Amino acid sequence: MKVLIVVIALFAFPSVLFGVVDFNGNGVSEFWELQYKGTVANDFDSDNDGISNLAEGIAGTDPHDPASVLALGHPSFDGAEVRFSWSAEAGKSYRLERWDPAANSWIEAASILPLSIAAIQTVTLDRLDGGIFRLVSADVDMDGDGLSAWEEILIGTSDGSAAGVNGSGEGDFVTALRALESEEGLVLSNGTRLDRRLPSEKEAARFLLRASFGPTDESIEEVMSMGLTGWIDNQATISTTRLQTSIARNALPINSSRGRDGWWRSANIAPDQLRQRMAYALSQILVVNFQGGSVIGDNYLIQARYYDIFTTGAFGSYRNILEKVTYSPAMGFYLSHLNNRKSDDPVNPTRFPDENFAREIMQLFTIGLWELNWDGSRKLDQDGNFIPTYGNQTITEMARVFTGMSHSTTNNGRAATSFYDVARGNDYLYDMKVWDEEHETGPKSIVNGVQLDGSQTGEEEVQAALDALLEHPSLPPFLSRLLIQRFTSSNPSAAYLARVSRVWLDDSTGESADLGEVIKAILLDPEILSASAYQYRGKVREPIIRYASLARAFNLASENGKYSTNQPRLNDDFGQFPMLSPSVFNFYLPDFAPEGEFRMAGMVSPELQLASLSQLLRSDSQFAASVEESGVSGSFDLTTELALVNEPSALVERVDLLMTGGRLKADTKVMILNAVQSEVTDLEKVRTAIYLVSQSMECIVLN
Amino acid sequence: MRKFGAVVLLLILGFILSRIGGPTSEGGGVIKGPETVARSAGESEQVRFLGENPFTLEYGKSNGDIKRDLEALRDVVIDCQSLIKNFDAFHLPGNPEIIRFLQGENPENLAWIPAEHSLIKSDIGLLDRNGNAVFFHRLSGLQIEYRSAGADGKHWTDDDVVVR
Amino acid sequence: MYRFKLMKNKQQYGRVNRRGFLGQASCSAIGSTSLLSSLINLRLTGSLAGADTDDGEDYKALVCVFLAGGNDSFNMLTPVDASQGYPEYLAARGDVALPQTDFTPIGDTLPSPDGRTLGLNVEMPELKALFDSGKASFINNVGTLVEPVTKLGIQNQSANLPLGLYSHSDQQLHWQSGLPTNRSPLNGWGARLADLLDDLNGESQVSMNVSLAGTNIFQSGGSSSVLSRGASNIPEIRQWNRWVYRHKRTAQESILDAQYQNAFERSFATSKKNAIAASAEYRAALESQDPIITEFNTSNTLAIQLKAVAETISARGPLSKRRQTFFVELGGWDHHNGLDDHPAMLGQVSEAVGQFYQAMVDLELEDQVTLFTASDFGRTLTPNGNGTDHAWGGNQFVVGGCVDGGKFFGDYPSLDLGNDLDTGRGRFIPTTSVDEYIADLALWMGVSATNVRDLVLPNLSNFHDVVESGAPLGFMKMDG
Repeated sequence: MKVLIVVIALFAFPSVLFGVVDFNGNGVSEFWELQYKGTVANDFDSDNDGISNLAEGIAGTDPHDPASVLALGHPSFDGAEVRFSWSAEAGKSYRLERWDPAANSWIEAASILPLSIAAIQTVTLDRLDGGIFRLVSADVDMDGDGLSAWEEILIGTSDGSAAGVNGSGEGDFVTALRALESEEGLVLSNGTRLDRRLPSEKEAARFLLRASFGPTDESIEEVMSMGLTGWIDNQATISTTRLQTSIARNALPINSSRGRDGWWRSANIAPDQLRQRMAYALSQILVVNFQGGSVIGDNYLIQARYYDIFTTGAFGSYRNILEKVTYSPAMGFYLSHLNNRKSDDPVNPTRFPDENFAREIMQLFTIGLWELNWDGSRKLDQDGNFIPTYGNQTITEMARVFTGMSHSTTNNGRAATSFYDVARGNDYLYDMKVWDEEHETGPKSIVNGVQLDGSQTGEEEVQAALDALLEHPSLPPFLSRLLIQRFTSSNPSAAYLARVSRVWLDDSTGESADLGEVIKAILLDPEILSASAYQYRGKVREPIIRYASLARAFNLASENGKYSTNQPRLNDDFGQFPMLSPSVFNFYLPDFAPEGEFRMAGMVSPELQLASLSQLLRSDSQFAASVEESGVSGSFDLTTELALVNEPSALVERVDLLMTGGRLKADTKVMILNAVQSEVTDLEKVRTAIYLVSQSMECIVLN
Repeated sequence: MRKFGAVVLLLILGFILSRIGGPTSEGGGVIKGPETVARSAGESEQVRFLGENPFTLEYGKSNGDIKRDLEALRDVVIDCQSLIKNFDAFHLPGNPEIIRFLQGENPENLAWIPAEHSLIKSDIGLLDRNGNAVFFHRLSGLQIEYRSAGADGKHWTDDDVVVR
Repeated sequence: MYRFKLMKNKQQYGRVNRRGFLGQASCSAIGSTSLLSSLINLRLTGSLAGADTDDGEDYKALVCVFLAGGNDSFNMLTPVDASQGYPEYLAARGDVALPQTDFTPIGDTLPSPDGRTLGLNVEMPELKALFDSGKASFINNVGTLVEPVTKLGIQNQSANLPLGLYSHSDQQLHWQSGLPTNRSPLNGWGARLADLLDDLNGESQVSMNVSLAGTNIFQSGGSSSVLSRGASNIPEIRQWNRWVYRHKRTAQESILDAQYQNAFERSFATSKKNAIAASAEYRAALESQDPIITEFNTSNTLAIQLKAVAETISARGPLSKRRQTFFVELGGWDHHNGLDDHPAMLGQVSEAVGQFYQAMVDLELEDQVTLFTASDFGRTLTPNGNGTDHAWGGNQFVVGGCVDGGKFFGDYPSLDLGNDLDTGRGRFIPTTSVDEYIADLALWMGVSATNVRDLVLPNLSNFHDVVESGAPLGFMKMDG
């Protein structure tokens, strides 16, 4: 009875189900690579133990110690049984597989969960008619925090809890990353100290593509010197650039073009870039369309004041933002709960409170249509159907809560004394209040099973409704997904989404967490920082952000201190412009899937809803025109680039770094290089490089 | 003697001013908040006047001008649209129908404009302070452009006053 | 399952939203997204045009001429009989009435007991000629309606009216969407019609819907997309065909031809490549045709749009099209400040339409193309100074070889002020709804009656049972 033993250590699965932090995408944990710094995880075998360094990396063994190796020793036979043993690393899971000639594949003979300390692992099987066996080592991530069990043991955290000791605060990975980027570096549980690891130039640029309106030389430097964690922390300390201020700084007086351009100014030069990105993302969830032609559409101060709910609240609590939006007369005007009156007759009503806001605050601003699990999947009832978060009756009841809301001022700023006081334009700048004279009384059964007994004032009821929404378990996954889609990924994995959802609820205090924590979880997720070949990874970048990135990368100068766009043109060409969403549903739907492979795979890409024939051709033309004509109402500073014209590869590399984070594939670079070298003048060469990189798929897509 | 006269003048001025003020002012004769008044003769339903508003306070008044008048009108229409949320479902081609709507001819019986006003003629509707009809140009369901013929009394000339 | 709440009574506030809607339907009776999902369902079950419409061996095209601003169409087609029609007209229109000699009598006397004779503005000789030769007809007093209404219902504010009546943008939307209770329609009847008929078209990157006037709701929102172009240019990447761009073009083409491992990159590259291909295909198709020999007046902005339409129709073969829709627009009809240039504008329309029809004749397609007019509304009979203001019902016309020409459809209203249709100043309640007008066109294009009722014109059933009774007006010869 021959039992042939073959041992293979495999990186078992493609990255979808991974659990290792893998910045360079070679399948080996970053922590392993840092621990054995200087040893490249490749086919070389440093310790001559017969296993390549790459394989040792995957198996978690020491590439410098021949005794540390994954090997299946000779089995021992005992009667009708055969016993296999091997030296198991702490935290790795193993599978013993046997070759089945009939099935022509390996089948699992035994599977072993990770041990918490290294030990000899033994598996006993029935003695068969011989066979070829192999041992496969793989990683698991029991607590779903993106760190494999092996890694958590290595760095001293627990794979039983996603974060910290109490399960609160920053996730284990962020904690580890923070330590790794600190001056002292990260001390492993075995005493080894990992040197401080700061981001490379490319890593910094890629990070900035997500966390800002686009990398610049200065911001890349900043990230490289502060680290990702340090940079984010620093962003929170920078004072807020309000849109109201940007508008005012752009020029006086405020008319239509200056109002719209305030945003452009902020995107270009505001130092609090992450905050600005967050504000822009929030403006795409709590949507008000400020298209001209209405009392709010023609007043840019009102618009800016609304938007500043997001700039000032970007790192604060979502409840705060939701509350300010609820009381905003701009939102009141847009979704018609401004001057929403109670029913005309308590017994036989013929006129009912308007339901517009009540519906959208649930459907779009907090919980969505379906009950969700933490990981974003829809909950199922016992018949396997999706569970709606609310029904028409709930909408009606919520509408009854949002009654009596009207201006708190009249006559351009004087205190109002009645619900009916008529507002002038500037009265839209001040929060509404709940006037009991038009607030619908009586008990109400509102969302999330909350009952209001009718004894409260209107203001108290509105607050109670906001509380009920914030406490709804579907809120964190619903909003997490929307925010993730704005920053990193159109199709976040269940694990990623769950990690971000978890952050909404601060376990230690039980209160709703900061958006500051949420954005950290979104940007510093191990899945996002790890490279992978998963084909549905990443997202299509928003055209307006790409456009702003172009301006930032090449230092678009202002014209007389004014940053301006050709907003109607951009809106037509790109299909979007901030605060001009065509409807309350934003520029694109979170679930939009283009025909073809996306639909078939059940994947979405909201931004591809802005890829009509006209938009595809016109946006390209817009980039071309902007590069040709040296930017929009200003000029690019191309000094650094022009200095590189004699080294065209370096020129392309530089443009690549600034615009894609160095992602251009070799082939693409060659194509672009050819075009660059075919141009005659220096300026033409540089412009060609910039234009073509801006139209490359690597620039259009964030990965 | 002059000083005394000046003081009296000031007191009288103060008294007048206190009566012109908005809802926060006191004094008799100024309707503060919503109140129910009968419609013009012949109507049986009660119309609820919603209280002093920019139109009642400013339109056609001596210290104003056409532009301010139209802005006051606009703000009152916007208020009406926010209270009667299906404003765009009614048959309101322009002047005088919109004015009548604001005077209380609506299913809610709410009124912003009194039944009698020196610058409202029942068949024509609202006039500007020069006595020419105001033109209501409906751009969309809710957006209205208000036009006065201006000093020359002719619409669609360069001196027209236009408010959106 | 979508639930609908009919807006029975204005008093009841489930407000029709400012937006279209998604997910659970809100209270509008007509859900445009639910229409689209029904369309998608039908496509999956294969029960679309191919199955239940006429065999469509022939090519057919619809051309919408939108007169933006509200055409004063009672100065276009006007009663001219001395005994009754003209005097009423004169009395009602006062300063904006045109002399009787500004009209050419046209068509038969209106049927008894009416007895009036109508005249066409003299500035429209081409249209007159088409009418006389049986290639054009008028559809009178047509306008937006949710359901039939009466003057009494309007006066006591119980009538269910289209939203934003008398306002430009809302009425333009309703004409183009067929959804008069929806403030923000997601799609137009042209798009819904196109989605049903696109199956008759062959493989092509170029959309069957072409707009010469930019984004319009009429063609928007369907899965068949829209190709938007200018009268003298077609959508292209800037400088794509220019010699100075050639190196960049090579690079761009290589970039788009490359293999991409990431699905987003792959998808975008494919879409952009298709867009460029569509643009190139369109250009090539146009260039493959002999130039249009028909004369078009190039200073006539409507004529140059219609020339581009003619060129695209001529290229239907290379574009593999058996069904197409076109949208052209002429603005400037909001004649509040005076009607002085109105006759000349009518002349412009007539000339352009005449030249277009001639181009169709030259292509031997006159029986396969139907042109129809639409406009926000008619205008008040009574003047406001020298001009006229927004009104409601107005007169439209259709032109084509398949039109049952030389006739008047609908009911030309009496022009004496204060009659039962007059809501004030000669603003007439339409006696024919936009739905009924469009239904004839949709049926002619080959949409089944059931689909017209359920998918293209959901509001039609308030006026006419198209499944039972066929075309509401019957101005298209269905065997044409």
